[in-house]
Amino acid sequence: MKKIYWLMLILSACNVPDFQEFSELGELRMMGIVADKPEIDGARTDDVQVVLTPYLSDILGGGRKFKVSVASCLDPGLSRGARLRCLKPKHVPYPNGNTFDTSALAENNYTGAMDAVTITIANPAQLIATRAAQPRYNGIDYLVIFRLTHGATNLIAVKAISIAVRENLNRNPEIEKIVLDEELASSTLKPIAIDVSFTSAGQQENYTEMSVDGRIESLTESYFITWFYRRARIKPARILFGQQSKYQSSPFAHTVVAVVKDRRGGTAIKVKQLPAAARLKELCQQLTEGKELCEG
Amino acid sequence: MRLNLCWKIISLLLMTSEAFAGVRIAGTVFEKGTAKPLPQVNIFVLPESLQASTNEAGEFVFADLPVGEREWIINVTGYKRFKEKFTYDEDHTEVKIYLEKKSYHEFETTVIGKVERRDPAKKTLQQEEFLQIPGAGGDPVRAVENLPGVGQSFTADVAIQGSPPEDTKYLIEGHEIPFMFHFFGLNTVAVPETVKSVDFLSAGYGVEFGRAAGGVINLNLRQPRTDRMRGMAFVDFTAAGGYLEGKLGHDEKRNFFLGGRYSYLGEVIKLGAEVAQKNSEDGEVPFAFSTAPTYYDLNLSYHDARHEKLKFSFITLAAKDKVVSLREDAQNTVFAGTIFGEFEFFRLIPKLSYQFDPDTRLETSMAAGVDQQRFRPGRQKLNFTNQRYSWRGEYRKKFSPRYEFAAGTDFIYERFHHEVRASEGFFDENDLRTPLEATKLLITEKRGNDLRQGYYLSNRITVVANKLMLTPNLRYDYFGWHARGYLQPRGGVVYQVNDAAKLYLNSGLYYQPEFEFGIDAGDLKPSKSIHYALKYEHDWRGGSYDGFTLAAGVFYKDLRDLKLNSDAQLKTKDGLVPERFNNDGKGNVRGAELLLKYKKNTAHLNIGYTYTRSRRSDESGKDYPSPQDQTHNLNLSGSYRWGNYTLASRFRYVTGVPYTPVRGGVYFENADTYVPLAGDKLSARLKDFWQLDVRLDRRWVFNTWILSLYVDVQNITLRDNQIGTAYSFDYSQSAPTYFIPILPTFGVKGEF
Repeated sequence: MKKIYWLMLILSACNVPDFQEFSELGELRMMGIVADKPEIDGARTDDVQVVLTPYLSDILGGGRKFKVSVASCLDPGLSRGARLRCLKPKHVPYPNGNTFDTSALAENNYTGAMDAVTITIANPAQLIATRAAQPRYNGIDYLVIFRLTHGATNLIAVKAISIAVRENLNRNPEIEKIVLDEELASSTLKPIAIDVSFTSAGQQENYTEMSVDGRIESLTESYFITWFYRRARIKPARILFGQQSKYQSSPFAHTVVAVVKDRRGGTAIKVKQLPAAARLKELCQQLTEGKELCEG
Repeated sequence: MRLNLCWKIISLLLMTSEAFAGVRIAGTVFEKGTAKPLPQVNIFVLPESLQASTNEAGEFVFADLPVGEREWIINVTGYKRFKEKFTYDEDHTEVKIYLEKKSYHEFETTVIGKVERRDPAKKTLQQEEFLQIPGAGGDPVRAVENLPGVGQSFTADVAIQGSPPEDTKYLIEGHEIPFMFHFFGLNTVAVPETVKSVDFLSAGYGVEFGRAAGGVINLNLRQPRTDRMRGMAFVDFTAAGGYLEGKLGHDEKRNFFLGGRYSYLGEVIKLGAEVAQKNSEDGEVPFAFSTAPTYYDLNLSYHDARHEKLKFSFITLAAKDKVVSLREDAQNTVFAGTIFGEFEFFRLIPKLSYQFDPDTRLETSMAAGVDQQRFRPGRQKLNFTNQRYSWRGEYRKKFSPRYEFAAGTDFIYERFHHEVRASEGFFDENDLRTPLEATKLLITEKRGNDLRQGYYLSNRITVVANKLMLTPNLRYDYFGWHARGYLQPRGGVVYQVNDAAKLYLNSGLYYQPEFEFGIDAGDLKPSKSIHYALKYEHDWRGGSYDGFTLAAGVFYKDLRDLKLNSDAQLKTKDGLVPERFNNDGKGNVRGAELLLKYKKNTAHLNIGYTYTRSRRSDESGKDYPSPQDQTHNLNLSGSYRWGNYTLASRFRYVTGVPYTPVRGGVYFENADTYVPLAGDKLSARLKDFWQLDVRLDRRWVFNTWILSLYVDVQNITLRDNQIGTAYSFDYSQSAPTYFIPILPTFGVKGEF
């Protein structure tokens, strides 16, 4: 009970330091990791392969070669405060000699998908056999840990694949396209929307969870959308599905990334390069007397 | 000389002749401000030196007062001298006189005597003390923070002598309540003027209370006054409220009290947000607060003392807090969405006492009520409903001047219904937590009941009169939830060094039930602590009101079987399940405290200091400081009253509390958030805290009512006091977060 109060106090804190914005791209960032199977059947006794595609952005890096290591293991209990560690890590080789060169993403402003990696989860049923029925039904997490290093630059990202014995396994949402419903030339904030196509008849997925006392409850996924951008402005940068963000264009060519997550491991990512807003560019050139500054 | 005497005789003769033309004057003498009739007051009229006295209703009569201007003089102890000239004739035969008190502080006439406290580990703040303490805003429990042994807390929860706030039990009239404060420690749940005193029980406390490893805060509500109908209304920045009290019927044996308070802080914040939104270009709310809290509390009491030996009272107390979001916040990585919370409880407390003879007394009270907590942060849902019935009874007998005995019961029966659909992270009690959005969903619903039985025997044995006293006591607690019972010997020795000085040694064993609302906490046992406290008290006042008093002591608490978060798996017949909690925690607290008080006329000065070392160790045996390890805690407070002004000030210095530093963050893709990488547990400290508060009170005493105004400024020096550390989304940047830089409060109160 007392921690509820503490939480509220944090929420009502009066001074929030002026940190770098979550959604602004520039430094090395991981924006999402798409697993072709965000949840796998915990009753399977064969080997299950999962393909993971990390999406990163390293705009200010300007093309760097990263050393990539991938390890996987069962979740030590992150939800219950356990330290992130793999007691018996299973190392997975990453393509191209465990390296990734962001120069490959130069066309997309060093933002986009990395090489995919395939992990094999051997005999999932045996992996979770010792667990009680309720945690098995809801899913035991299998962690895949990516570590990227370049000199002193270091990034660790974790994807949890759920091994569950429930009937309908989770699937990824899909983004068809990013739609801007106003012309880009405007300098004012305009609504931005994305079309999201869902895997089950245009609806967010229904799924079931088992309560601690063994009841099965039906739930519906609740998506949230995160916008990442560079040289544009989208506010709010993270919204719940059904809400709308506003977009402000830029006199420069810019990058916008939309990420949709279902909070159960399902992820969809779309990267879009947008041209400079013509009118803003014109204004910029007038102000800077046609100097190349406005070319970005 | 002879000529002078002659003039006097002539004057007297002249006056006597004028007296023949006298009138009948009837009047009443009241206390100014309260309009209370004053009985047995002598009124003198000069120069005839005529005298009349008031009856019980404050009325008096001069049967034959000479017509013309006369000087009236009244001298009453505790009141300012009344001296005024009146002119009377046949058309002006009535008079109302209002006497102004020298002081309007309710409990000014504190009796200074050698009252033997039943529990030497108990400190008590009376109403007149907590209403005046600066920085506490007149609040009884926030004022307790000024006492040594109480840790600094920004939520105003009370952490006693290095123990966590969870180890403090909050009681009203001896019965447990779920929370003592409205949101963020704004106010205690009872209107301060309805509280008679607040008890603070620390290391080595007695057997009357239990189930608390740290200590107890108990509010004693005041009996309604019976002399007349009284009332009070107040308004300040955050709340408005008032009370009404008086007698029922013609006698003064039955009386009532009705008081309440409503806080509109939430409405003020909402209004601010709306204005900010209107003036915002992009429609966003550039507003610091994300939530709007409101609350109310209500107190209705009835006392009946018609029977000489049997006393009955019935107290009703209800409180509710509500909080709603000002905006949907999807960007919050703790949880996304809106926030809604309602926390409420009520208690109906009938009390009965019977005085068989001056040495024998039976007291019993019951509390029945419901606690409800509904909390919806984002997609999470937590509903806790507890029907709670508690019963206390005590039989006390003084067998001889050397031996006093008491036997009592302290029962709680609870029926609960707990529903949880929330992130597992909600139950993580670590200092540095995984963000809620990154933890798995937990669904559970529990219904059940729990009976906690407490029995105690208390003895006071005077071994050597005025020299040595022993208090060998025993308490037994049975915790239904744990299905375990424990005998807990507690007791002490009191040694009277001389007329002015005493030495106390207290020790005891304490068990505290450990469970988590809504979730199965495995096979948790109650936590255990052993307290030792040695205290020296010296009173230099020699029976007077003015002078120095000192209380200084040391304490040690040995803590065992402490509840710890566990990420291990527990073997059950169904397979492995998360253990969540275990009893592998250990620790100890050692410290020293001092309270020096000085009073001189209307000036008060208090110095409170506590030294604390509070350590814990986990299952690995690794030793680390507890979050309550506040090495030095110094409180200097003082007040000075002149006329109707009172100026009070408080200075606090507290060593920064430990926290767990962050080494960086790991991107947790599923929740699109970062998980902190913890450094050594509680190995860093916040900056030291210090704060200066000032309060000025002013009263205007009118004939039938009193107007009071106060200005209370907390942190008047604008000192940046760190309350935590904020991190950027990926934990790559950090910055201290500070408490509100300055908190001025302005309030108006009217009473009659």
